[in-house]
Amino acid sequence: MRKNKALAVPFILWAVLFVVVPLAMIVWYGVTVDEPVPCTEVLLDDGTIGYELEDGTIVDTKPWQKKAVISLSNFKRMIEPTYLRLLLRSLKIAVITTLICLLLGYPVALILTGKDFKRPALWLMLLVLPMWMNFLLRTYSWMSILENSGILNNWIASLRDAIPAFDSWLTNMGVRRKIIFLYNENAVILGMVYNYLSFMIMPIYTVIEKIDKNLLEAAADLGANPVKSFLRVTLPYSMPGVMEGITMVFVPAVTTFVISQLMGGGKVPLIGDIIQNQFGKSSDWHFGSTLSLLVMVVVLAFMGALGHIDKDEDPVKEVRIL
Amino acid sequence: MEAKTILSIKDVRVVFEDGFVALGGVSIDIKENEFVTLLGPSGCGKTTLLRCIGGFEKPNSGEILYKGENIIPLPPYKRHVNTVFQRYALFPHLNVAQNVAFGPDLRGEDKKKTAAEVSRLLALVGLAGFEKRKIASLSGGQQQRVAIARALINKPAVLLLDEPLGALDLKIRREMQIELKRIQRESGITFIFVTHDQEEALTMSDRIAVMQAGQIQQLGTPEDIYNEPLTAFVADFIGDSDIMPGMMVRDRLVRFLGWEFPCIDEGFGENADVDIVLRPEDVKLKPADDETAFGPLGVVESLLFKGVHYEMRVRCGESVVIVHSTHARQVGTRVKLTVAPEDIQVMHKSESSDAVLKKHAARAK
Repeated sequence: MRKNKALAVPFILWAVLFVVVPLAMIVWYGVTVDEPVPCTEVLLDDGTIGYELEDGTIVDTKPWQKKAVISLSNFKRMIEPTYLRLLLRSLKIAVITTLICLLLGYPVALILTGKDFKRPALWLMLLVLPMWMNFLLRTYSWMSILENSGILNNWIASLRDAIPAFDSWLTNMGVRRKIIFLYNENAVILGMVYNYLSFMIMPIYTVIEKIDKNLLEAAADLGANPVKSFLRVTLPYSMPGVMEGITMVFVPAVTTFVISQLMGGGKVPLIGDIIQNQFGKSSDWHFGSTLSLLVMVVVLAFMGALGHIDKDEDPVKEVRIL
Repeated sequence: MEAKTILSIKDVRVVFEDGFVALGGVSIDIKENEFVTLLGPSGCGKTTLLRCIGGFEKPNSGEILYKGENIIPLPPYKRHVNTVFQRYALFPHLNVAQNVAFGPDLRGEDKKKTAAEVSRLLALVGLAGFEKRKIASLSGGQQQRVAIARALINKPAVLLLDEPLGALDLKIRREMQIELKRIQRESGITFIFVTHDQEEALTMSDRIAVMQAGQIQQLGTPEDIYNEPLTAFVADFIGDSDIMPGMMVRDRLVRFLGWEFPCIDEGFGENADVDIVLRPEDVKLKPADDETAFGPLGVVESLLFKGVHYEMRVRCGESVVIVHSTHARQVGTRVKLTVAPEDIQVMHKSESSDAVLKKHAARAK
C-alpha cells in the first residue's frame, strides 16, 4: 500500500500545482478588485503637491501601485443584463450544439455497432481522423469553404450557371448570388458540431459496443422486433454513454471562444469571448475571474443535474456487475 | 397413441465464415411434449443447432419445419420457441418480475393478468415472493429459474435450453435437473436441452441425440444410448467404458484381449475388424484357478474405492481393462476376466474409432 501511495505523489503534486493553485487564484482574483494605494494629497514645503501614504511616508509622484481589495463589485457587474445575455446565448448555442451532436452521433454509433457492419474500427478511425489535425486549421478550412467567395458559393454559382432552371428557382426563393454562410449563430453552431461530434460518437459507441449481445438476442427471443429491442434494451443501456457524450460536448461548447471568433467573426460573442477579453485586451483579470467562476458554477450545476438523472435510472452499476 | 411431430429438422447445414462446418447435414424429428437432449463435446454443433431453431443462426441449407411450416425465414421474434440462454441474459436494469413480464409487456397484455401470471410462474420455478428482487442480488441458480420463468410465460411450443445448468455447482445442478423435468411435465412443453454432461442427459431426457463434429452420431432413449452405443465415440462419451479393437471371427464369436468370447452379434462377416465396448460393471473377475470360468488371465494393477464400488485396473497382456465391482481384489491378484455374451458391444469401425482407441490404449501405459 505504501508503495502505491508513493506512486501517487507526482500526480498529487501535479494536481496541486496545476489545478488547485490556479483554481484558488481564480477564486482570489474573482472576489477582489484593484484599488489604487490609498494616499492623501499634501502641500509640501516647497509649494509643490506631494502624496502621503498610509504609513506616513511622502512621495512626490502619485503612486502607481495598485492593491487588491476584497470586493463583491465584480459580482454586481456580472449580473448586469449584458453579461447574462451573453451567458444565455452561450448556453443556448451549447445546448443546440449538444442536441445536434446527439442526433447525428447516436445513429452513427448505432450503425457502427451493428452486427452486419464490417470493419467498424476503420470507419471509426476515419471519423476521428480529422480530429488529428489542428483545431484552428480545421476551423479555417470551414471558413474558406463557407466565406462569401468560398468554395461552396463558387459551386452553387457554377451550378446556377450550368442549370438555368436551378438558378431561377433559387432566385424565386429569394436566394442571393452570394449566400452569407459565415458570421452568424448558425455558422458558430456548425463549427462547434463539426469539432465536437466525435466526442459524442466515441462514448456512445463504446457503451453500445459493450452491451451484452445475449441481451439483444434474449429480447428478440421474447418477441421484441428490432425497434422494440432498441427501445427496451439498447437505448436504456446506452444512456451512460449518452450522458458522457453530452458532458464532453456541452462543457467545451459553453466555454469556447475560438470558434465563435472565427466562424462568428466577432458578431456572435459568447461568454468565453468576454472572459478571454478580460485577460487580454481589457486586462481586468479580476472581472475575468469572476465571469469564469460564474461559468464554472453553471457548468457544475448542469453536470449535477445530469448526474442526478443518471442516478435515478442507473442501469450502469448493474451492467458493470454482469 | 403416437405423439405428433412438432419440429422437424431436415438436413440442416451450417458452415461458418471461416469455412468451419458446424453442422454437416443434421436431421431429427422432435415430438410434442418430448424432452430431447443434444449431447456432445464442445464444438460438436449442438449449440449451433439450437441457435438455428431459435432463429439466431441461419442454416446454409436444409429445412426446419414447425408443424409442417419452414421457419428458417422467420426472425426470432416471430417463432413459437423461446430460449433459456447459457448465461441467462437477464436484463439487469429490470427486477425479477419485470424480467419475467418482458414478453407479455411487449405484446401490451393486461398488467394485472401479467402480474398474476408472473407470480404463478415464479412459484412454479420455486421463486415465490421474489418479484421485487434485483437480478444482481440473485444466486446463479435463482437467475436460472428467472430465465426459465421468463421463457415459459410466453407459452412457447418449444423451449430451447442452452447448457442452462453449466454455471451451477453440482448440488444445485442436481436439484435443477429434477426441477426442470418437473416443470417440463407440468407445463407440457417440448424441451430441447443442450449439454455436454452425459449424466445430466441420461437423467432428464426422453431421447438423446449424441453429436460429434456437426453430425448426430446416435439418437435414442437414454437406455439405448447407454446399453447399445452405435459407435465407439458414443460409447466413450456416455458413461465409463473399455473400448478396444477386436475381430469378429464369425457370427456369435468375437476375439479380443487374446481370447475368443461368445457373443450375440451376427452379420459382421468373418474375420472382420470391429470395435469392442465393455461397461466396467459388466466385466466380472473370477479367481485365476476357477475351473468353471472362461476368460483371459489378468493381474490387478490398482484398486480404488469409489464409494458405491471399487474400480480396478486389470492388466491383460498389452491392454488394461477398467473393472467396477463391489468385491475388492488386492493389487497383484491373478484373475480371469469374464463377460456375458449379451454384455459385449460389437460395433463397426467408424471415423472416430482411431481417436477413441488411441485414447483408451494410452491408459495401458
